[in-house]
Parts: sequence; structure tokens; C-alpha cells
Amino acid sequence: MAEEVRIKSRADTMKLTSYENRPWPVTPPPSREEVMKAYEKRRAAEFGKWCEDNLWFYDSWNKPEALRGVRVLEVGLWRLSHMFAGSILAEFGAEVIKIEPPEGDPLRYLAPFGRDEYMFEDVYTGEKVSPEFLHEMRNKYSVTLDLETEEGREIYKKLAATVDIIFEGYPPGYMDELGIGYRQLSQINPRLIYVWIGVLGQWGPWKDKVSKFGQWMLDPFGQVASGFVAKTGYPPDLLDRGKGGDPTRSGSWIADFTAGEQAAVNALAALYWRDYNGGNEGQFIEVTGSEALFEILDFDLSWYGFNESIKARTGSWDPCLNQYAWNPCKDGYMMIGGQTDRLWYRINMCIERDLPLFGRLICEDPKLKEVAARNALDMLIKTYTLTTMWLRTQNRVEVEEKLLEYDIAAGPLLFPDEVAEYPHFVYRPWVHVIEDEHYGHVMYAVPPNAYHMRTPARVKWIGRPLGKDTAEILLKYAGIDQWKLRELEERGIVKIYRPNFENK
Amino acid sequence: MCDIIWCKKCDTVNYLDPFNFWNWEGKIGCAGCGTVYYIHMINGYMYRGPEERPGETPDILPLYADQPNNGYEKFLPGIPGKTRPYNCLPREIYLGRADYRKFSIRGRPVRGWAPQPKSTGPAGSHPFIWQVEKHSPEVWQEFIEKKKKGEVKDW
Repeated sequence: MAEEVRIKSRADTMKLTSYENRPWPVTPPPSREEVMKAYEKRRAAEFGKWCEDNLWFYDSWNKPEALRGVRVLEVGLWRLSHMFAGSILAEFGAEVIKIEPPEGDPLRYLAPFGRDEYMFEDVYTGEKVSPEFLHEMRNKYSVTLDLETEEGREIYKKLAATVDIIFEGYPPGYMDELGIGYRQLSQINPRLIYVWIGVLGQWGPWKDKVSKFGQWMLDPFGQVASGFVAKTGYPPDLLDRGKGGDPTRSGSWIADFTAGEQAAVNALAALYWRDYNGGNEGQFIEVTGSEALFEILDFDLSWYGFNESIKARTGSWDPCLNQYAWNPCKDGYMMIGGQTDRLWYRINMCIERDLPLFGRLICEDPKLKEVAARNALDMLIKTYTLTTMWLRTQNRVEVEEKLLEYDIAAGPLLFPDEVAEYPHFVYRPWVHVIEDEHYGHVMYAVPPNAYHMRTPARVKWIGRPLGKDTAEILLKYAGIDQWKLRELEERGIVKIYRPNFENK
Repeated sequence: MCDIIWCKKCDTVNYLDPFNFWNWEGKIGCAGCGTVYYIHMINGYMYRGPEERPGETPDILPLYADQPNNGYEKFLPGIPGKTRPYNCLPREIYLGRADYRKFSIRGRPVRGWAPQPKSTGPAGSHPFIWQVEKHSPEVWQEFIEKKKKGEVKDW
């Protein structure tokens, strides 16, 4: 008989959802043989097999890493952009050393809703770490160093002399003021590629807007300043302001992640250029969250420059295509994609089968028979109202099945638990679990760069407790011996990780 | 509520857009004849209504309505007293007035206006160089005049 469990708080549910009690995936993905049959059915047997032979995830550990031998320093607080840039290079095999102050990056301690039970715990020390920070510590080394002391800065300079790339995420001019910015470090290491990642830039009239004495600007200031936020969410004309008709956060810190990705590309371009030109010319690079978002604003700025149009928020509806939106259904939201005549009439046939009214009001409307005229706002309102009339009676899976019968692009909006179980993602796998030395079983998203034919990226470890690698890295690259290290620790310039093996 | 109110009095279909009306209770005015209907929508279903409420004022208007039995007569968004506006659309294209811009907001000629003159060839295709003075002399003339008046800017 099953044991009765009383759930008073989330802590009581933890053991019920542990990997031991509820292995992942609950539903095993299809076997390779079964998938081969699917390729054959689609007349892609050979190409499907070739892709699997060359890109198979589980073979990636046998292959070399593209950035083996590249050494990177990553320094900054509070922000994800320099961390994300470092993560990308670390996945490709670069040796990425994260420098933190002895008390740790504050991001380590930011748990969702401030709840301890949502944090991961180091099995040796019980030290907690937030999921956000852990996610961006993959394949990295954690080194603690107090850069506000003269001695800390000297050690930092020694490390900087040996690296190829530095990703920095401090406020504008901070490192330069400390005497360890690019201007000073390039004297020691002219090959250095130094990427500063910020929000609005290190120069220009707004360079350090916001409080001079307190918090500096972080990701959301980049989002709101770039106009990116202005076009997220629903307009007040579709939903009342305050009842959903407001701009929204994009769900993750998109400015930081976009800037981080751009920073990684910048660093690799500079690395190629440096090595192509004899290997001695490093450079200084600046990337900002605002500009990174400017680049993905689509046609907003050009449209404004063209005729002063300010792009409207249209929520989940695409303003340039019909149908091309997700709308509510019985158990969530359903994405349906169409626009061309081929798809348009197939969608119509499918919906009309259940909802004859759709045929009368949509299929018969002469304006909707014209491909371009379909995109008019009035036509969007009309089409989506009737489509949702059909959707409201059905669950996502039913709708998907019906639409796929008609070869229509249709996809349910998945929630994270469904994503983790989605057979396609589990098969490839895009979602995977890692057995980490410190944090146990951790589910993570496989890097999108993991599907290289020759040099796939990979996650070797998911995170590091604070200062885990301080001793190793400083002994290796900073010319410090054991006694000096002990002295530095006593004076609080570094923190050394001391595991308690009896805890495990 | 992702439903429609097909008004029997004036044969107008009022479209109730899905995100606003998915859960909604109140009075809505017909775009065709102004009849006020009370509706109560729960998770996309018409739980109550539409019930006529003569003499009462509506809380909301539809964004769009049309009359499919009357040559598809349309009530586009933003007609005072009939449909509610879609203010987030910046220009007046939703009222059916096409807006062909020949000059950018800096006062420089742009390509994106229509119809393009026949002299520009199929789809107005001129790779690399757009000889505006040759293909659209009237636009070029207007540009020269704008320049003289100092209306052409570099931001």
C-alpha cells in the first residue's frame, strides 16, 4: 500500500519528484530503428541516417573540441551577459576562468522568489546556488580574487598575461579606474582580446546613467531603452491596460543573453583576425545589451525612418501574415501557421469540417481570398475570432492531430514539463540530464552548438561551488605557491573551497 | 470570448476578438445598429447572452464587424460610436486610406511607394542603382524643391 504523504510545503514534495522516484524521461523516446522507419516513410532514409551518423549527440565526447587551448577570463558581477559569452566558449572547449570576489557573485544567491528550496545544493558543503547562476557556470572554473586590493590586482594581472580573451561585465570604466582595464593589460599582453559587455556603453552621454552611488544599470534598462519591450505583449486596444494590455518582460533576460551571444561572436572574430595576422594584435571590443537588441528589432527602426510608423504591439498575432499566431484553446494555446493559398485553404477545410460558420464567414469572404489582403488588421481580427471559436472546444493535442492531417504547420504551446518529455527533444536530445560532481542530477538544455560534425560543443560539468578552482588556477598561472595561497586566504583576498567528504 | 454576435436586427456580424473576450462580462454595442447586448463569457464560452439591454450604454464596442449578406459591408476599427479603435496602429491605413510615401521623414526620396511607374520595369527592379531622376522625374523634381526649401535633413 502506498505510503500516505502529507504536503505542507514544497519541501515535502522534493523527495516525490526526485530523480530516483520519478526517472526522466517518464516516456522513453522512440528507438533509432523506429525513427529510421520514419525517415524511410518520408523518403529521407539515407540523409536521415547520414545526419545521425555525423551529428549523433552521444558520439560528441569522442570528438575534438574546437577551442581547445584557448584561455578565457570572465570577470563581472550581477550580470548574465559576460557569463553567457563565457559559457558558449566553454562549451566549445575553451578554458574559461570565472573570477569572483571572495564572497561570491551576488547572482549566486538570487533564488526564484527568494526561496531556498528552489536552489541547488553542493553535496560536499551544503552551499546553495541559484539555478540561474548554475546554468551559466557550465564547464567553467571558479576562482575567487578580491580585485579591490592591490595584491588581488597583481594576481589578476598575472592571470591576464596568460589568457587570449577577457569578458568583462563591470560598470563603465570601473576596471580602468582600478588599473586593470584594457589600456593597462594590453601593455602586459598585447595579444589580449578584451570584450566589455554593458547595457548602454562605456562612452557617450548616457554611459553611466542611473545612480552614481548605488546599483548600476542591468539588463532591463537595455531592454526598455532599445524599444524591444515596447513591442512585447498586447496593445491596450486588444486588452485593457493593466489587464494584460501592457508591454511585458520577455521571459528571460533577453538583452543579456543576446549581448552575450554577440560578445562570443565578436571574440571569435577577433581571435581569427589576430591569428591570421601573425598572432600579436589583440583588441578592445565593446558590446551592449541595447545595441544587441537594436539588431534584432526587425523592421521597426527602418519603418519609423520611412514614414514615422511606430510598430504596434500585436500580441501573439504576426502583423505581416495570416494565419500566423497562437490563440487560446481549451487547455492552453495553439500555434497555427499559414498565409499562402495552399495552407490557407487547407486550414479552412480543416476548421470548416467542425465549424460550418467558419466556412460562411471566412472561406466565403472575397477579401480573404486575396493573399495580400488577408493581412489587413480587420481580416486578422475576423480570422482569429472564428479560429478561436473552433479552438475553444478542443485540447492542443486534438487540434494538432486534425491540422497535421491536412499538412498544416501546427504546434502546441508547450510548458516546461511538456518540453522535457517531448519525444523529439528527448530523442535528439535537446533536453538532457547530467550527473554533476557537486549538484547531482541536473536537467539542462543541450547547447545548440552540440551538433557539429567534427567539433561539437558539450557540457562537461554543470557548475562550480565558489572558489573550487582557486588553488589549482593560481598555482598554475599566477606563480603562487601553497604558502602564499594560505596567506592570501587568511587576509581574505581569496577564498578556497574546502569540501567535506563525509557529507556525501 | 472568441465568439460572434450576429445581430438579427441589422444582419451585422460583430467579431469579439479572442484575447479580450476570453473571460468577459458586460455590455457590448452592435456596430451596425447600436443595439446593446449583455454577454458573460467564461473560458471562451458564452455562459449567458447575448441578451438585449435596450436603453443601456455599452461598456465596449467590437474591434471589427461586417455584413456578409450585404456585400460584405465593413465596420473597420476606429469608427466613432461603432467600433473601438486600434490606436497602436500608428497610421490610418486601417481606415482604408492607402498611404504612399514618396519621401522619408528626412525628406529623401524612397523606393517603397506604389504604384511604381511602368518605366521602372517588372516589380520596379533596379539592382544597385535607383535612377530616381530617370524613372520618376516628378518625384525627383519634388525632391529638388524640397532641398531648396531646406526640408531635406540629415537627422
